[in-house]
Amino acid sequence: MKRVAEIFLGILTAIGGFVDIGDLVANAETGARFRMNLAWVVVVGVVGIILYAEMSGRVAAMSKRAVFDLVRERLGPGFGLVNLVAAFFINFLTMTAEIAGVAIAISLVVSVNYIFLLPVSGFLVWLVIWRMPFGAMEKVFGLLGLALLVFVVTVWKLGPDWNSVFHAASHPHVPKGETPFTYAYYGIALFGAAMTPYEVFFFSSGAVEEKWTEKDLMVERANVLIGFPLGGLLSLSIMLAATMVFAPRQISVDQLSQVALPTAFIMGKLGLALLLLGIFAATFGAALETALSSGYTVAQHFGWPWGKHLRPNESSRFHVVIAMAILAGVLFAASGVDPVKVTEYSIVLSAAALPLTYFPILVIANDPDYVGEHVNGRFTNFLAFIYLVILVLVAVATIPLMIITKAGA
Amino acid sequence: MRRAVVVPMLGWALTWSLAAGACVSHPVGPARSFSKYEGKAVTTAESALSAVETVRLAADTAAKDHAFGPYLSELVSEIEGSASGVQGTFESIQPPDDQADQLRDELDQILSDVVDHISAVRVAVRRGHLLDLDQVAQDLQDDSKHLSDFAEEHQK
Repeated sequence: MKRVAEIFLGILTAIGGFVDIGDLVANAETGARFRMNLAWVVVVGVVGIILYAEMSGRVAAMSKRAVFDLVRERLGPGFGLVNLVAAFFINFLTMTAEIAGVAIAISLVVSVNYIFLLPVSGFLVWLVIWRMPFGAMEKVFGLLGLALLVFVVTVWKLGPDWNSVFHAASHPHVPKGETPFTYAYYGIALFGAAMTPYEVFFFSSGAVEEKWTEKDLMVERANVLIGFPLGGLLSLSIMLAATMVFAPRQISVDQLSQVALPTAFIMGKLGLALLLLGIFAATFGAALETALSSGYTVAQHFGWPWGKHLRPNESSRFHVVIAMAILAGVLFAASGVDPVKVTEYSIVLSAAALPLTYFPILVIANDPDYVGEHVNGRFTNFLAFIYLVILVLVAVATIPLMIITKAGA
Repeated sequence: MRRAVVVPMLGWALTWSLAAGACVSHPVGPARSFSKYEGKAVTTAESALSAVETVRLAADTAAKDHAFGPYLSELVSEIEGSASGVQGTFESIQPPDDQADQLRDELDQILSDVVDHISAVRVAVRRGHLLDLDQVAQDLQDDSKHLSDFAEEHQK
């Protein structure tokens, strides 16, 4: 019974924790601009993150070591350092966007410009990382993130013609006024939003923090195989709400505050309050995960003691990296950069950098020295290889598409 | 090995610089011909139309008593900032010829009206006149039509 409760709680946490500022912005933007013509990308992204997270979690549970530790050992310090620089940079952009997202969520309740709330947002993130135990931190914000399910209720109340929705989603085309290049660029953005590398750094490091063993593989698979697809449905409901409310009015999404407007319009004040709570929880949870991932990646690469299971004086360099990353993120966000643009760049560049961590994990997940008898099966390897090809194509296409489309303009 | 590490790191540093630069709002490119200028004018009109429609939707939401004052205040302020930014960006583009001057004057007038009318909505929100907001936002209906007509007329 305890096991069932643990699995159920894990699934709920995975659903609530699935959406972050990247998903909020990318799904609302694409729904408003491309309607449901890019919905298939969410499905491809969710299958990809299931595959990637399952392999990483299994590797961490069996080897008791996290991604960057293994990448450096298996593929050498040179490749490891390139990987670290790329991952740290993209994770930093994502963390900046999430911290700004927290400040914006608070600003929508207290009506103070979000710039003034950035230091508060950064301090709260640092404080929770410093004080709150790992398990509680993960569950509290994951469960609060379930408030975003109000998007599903919004869509239900909007009463879409489901036949038309399925037809539009299953017969994608480039809408009038768009080019194949902008279509592909936003496809990559959606893919990057669904398959964000920090989720995997956090997931695999969390497995080590929580001392997962072979026995925990069932919980890990339930979280990933049930929680992530349900989180994907939440992403699709954001896209559909934007399709139904924004697209007919020719509204494009440039501000995070706009994302809440369909829910307020349809559901009223209670719906809006729940949604703002959900946005706060989703961005705060993701800010914690990305800030911790800054420390995880650097400490694991250099072999420093790391983790919240250690006392701060036993993992001082890990905590210093986290604190400095948060401070730099707050300063960068306060420098006048557009938080939505930062989000867009972070998810697009995430997609471009995915092969750097995906490939080593795929190699290690096939190495019995690390995972024993739990190496990838034939089907997993078949799917994983297809995704490797997709990831390489995405990585090659991202920067040219960014230049051709002027970043989706 | 050192070269193998340094080259990709330089690549990432370059990407980082480009991304950081592009994250600042409203980068302006030059318009060397009327057709380029007209294209930028249409893009500007479409951005302004999005701002107008967002505020109209927010006003309808407020009139139905479906949203809180602080949320509406921040939303309308941000959209007002976006609309002003869009206008400022368009004004900063050098019109290449006389025909472009006329186009500039035409769109600039519409954009000025848009910014004024959104400002009026923002003022009403901050004064707590939420239930009457659809009345205050009525002028935006005309702005929306002007922008749509403008974009349609000049669309390639």
